[in-house]
Amino acid sequence: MADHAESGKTVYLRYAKILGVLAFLTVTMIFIGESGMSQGPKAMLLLLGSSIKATLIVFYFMHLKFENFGLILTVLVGIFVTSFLMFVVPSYDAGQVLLRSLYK
Amino acid sequence: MSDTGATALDASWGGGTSPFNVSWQKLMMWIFIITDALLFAGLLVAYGFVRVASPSWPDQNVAFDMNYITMMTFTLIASSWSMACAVSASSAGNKKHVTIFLWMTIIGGLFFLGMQVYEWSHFIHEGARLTSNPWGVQQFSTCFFVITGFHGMHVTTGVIILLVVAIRSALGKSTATGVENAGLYWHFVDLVWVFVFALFYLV
Repeated sequence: MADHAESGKTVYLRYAKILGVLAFLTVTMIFIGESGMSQGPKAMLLLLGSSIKATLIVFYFMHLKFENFGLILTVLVGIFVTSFLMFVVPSYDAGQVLLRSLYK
Repeated sequence: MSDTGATALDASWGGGTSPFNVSWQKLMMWIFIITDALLFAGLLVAYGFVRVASPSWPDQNVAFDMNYITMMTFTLIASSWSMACAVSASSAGNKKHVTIFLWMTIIGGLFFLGMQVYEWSHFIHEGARLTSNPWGVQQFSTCFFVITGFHGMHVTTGVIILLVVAIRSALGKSTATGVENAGLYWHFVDLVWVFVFALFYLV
């Protein structure tokens, strides 16, 4: 791992910064969830927020950033398939809402 | 294929070497995580279909205490931080820090589980069952119990794994790879909750 050479406190602090970003994103997502936005776009925004959080967790907490490129690529294919599955239904819903608002 | 290409291929795939430059345990953990992620993606997509197909859906603010759910989320994220620190301490050979951070993670996990038990009992007390609930949409409680139940089961397994690793670490039997693999699993549990929280409680 790349953080072997760094001192413990530096690494813990770096993780604390990631934790701060994750907490900030969580609060932002709660505000989006509580807003009066229609369901489709809200779902898309929340999925986007979740994906950013997931990327931070996978690349920093799970250390994927520091792994062999072959492993990164293999995991990314899995993440792509999973994300594709999770984006299909909400995007359909968001598309319906968008079309309805356009042709009102 | 040229001789140089064949030699390079043999060097990586000829057996006895790891093409990903990681231990087989870690590679297997990553493969397990990808397959388990697909399982949760399937559950959440099924939930998405149910949501789109239902003419109405109960307001989450009525069914759940959102402050409470937010606290659960922060607990899990914080435990992920302590787990990442434990993995770092382990690879640096700092046994004291490994023990402290592992126990912090275990306490976080137990706290999350306790909160989930309370949430479930409150939900059941209000009349929610697997096939019926007072909010009128039958699939609402089905999705709730199946998705959060599955996730809770993963958290329980994670806590057990962490307990084993913490005990082994205290006895000086745990390796850095062991702590790292337990960490990968724990972060995955947090990762799943990120999506469950957004899609089930916020949308």
